[in-house]
Amino acid sequence: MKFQRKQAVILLAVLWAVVLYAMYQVLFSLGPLSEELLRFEGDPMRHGYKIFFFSMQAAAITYIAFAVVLVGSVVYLRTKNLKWDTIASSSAKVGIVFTTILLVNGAIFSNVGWGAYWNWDPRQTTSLFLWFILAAYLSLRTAVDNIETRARLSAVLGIFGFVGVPLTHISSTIWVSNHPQLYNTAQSSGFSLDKSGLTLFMILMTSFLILYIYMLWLTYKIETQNQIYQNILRGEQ
Amino acid sequence: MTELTPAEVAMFRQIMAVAAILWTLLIIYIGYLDSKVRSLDERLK
Repeated sequence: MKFQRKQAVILLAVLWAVVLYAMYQVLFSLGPLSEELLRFEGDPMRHGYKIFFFSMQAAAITYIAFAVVLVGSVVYLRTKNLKWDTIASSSAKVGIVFTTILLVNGAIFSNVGWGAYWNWDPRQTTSLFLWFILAAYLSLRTAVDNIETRARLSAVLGIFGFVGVPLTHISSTIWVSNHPQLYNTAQSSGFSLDKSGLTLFMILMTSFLILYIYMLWLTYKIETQNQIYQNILRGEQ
Repeated sequence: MTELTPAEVAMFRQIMAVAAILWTLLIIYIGYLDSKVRSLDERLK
């Protein structure tokens, strides 16, 4: 089934409207954090917790992007089919955008919650580590001319780079961290979403996931066209 | 609608305006890229 231009326009228009609606609801309709969770009088986290609705999505998409790089890399090494290398590199390119959004969101949340944009919190630091892994992956690809060598080296880095994902996820539990705990653990901050909050959360998560898939498809098409163009220049086609 | 102070409403309006502009620009840019990709596809065929 082909993804026609008209379908693309409708998808973009729906995404635009849905995310704007969800943003508006998060800002103006969601209530403040309950009084017992506030740390002091005038705590900026009263409404500052709402950043969670955007940083959580960025984190989830970053993890997914890494997983796609991992899968693409493993399958390429097994099959030597360059299509999988293209999928992996496309995911890395889109993933670094979402990782950047994650870092910026995290910095804003850190400033609201703890008074500094950067305080070497384990979750912040390991997220930066993820960004560096993707930057290294993309830099490696520009440094190698031979297509098969580039694909092989990128695949190895893509596989080992995935280690950063579980490390980032557990960083706030295994090290002392300011980052709120989202699951029922002994360190749980007690923060939970009501029905409307959960609905908005799922709407934003779904929208960002669709956006990631669309950007991945677009980047994959651009890379494929670039390869065809390079082959034409070399006279192979 | 939750009870917000006038200062909070003003702050959220600013945030919403910036977010809406950035989001709109991103969507337009993605649409532009999509259009370029499709026309290149036609030419490469």
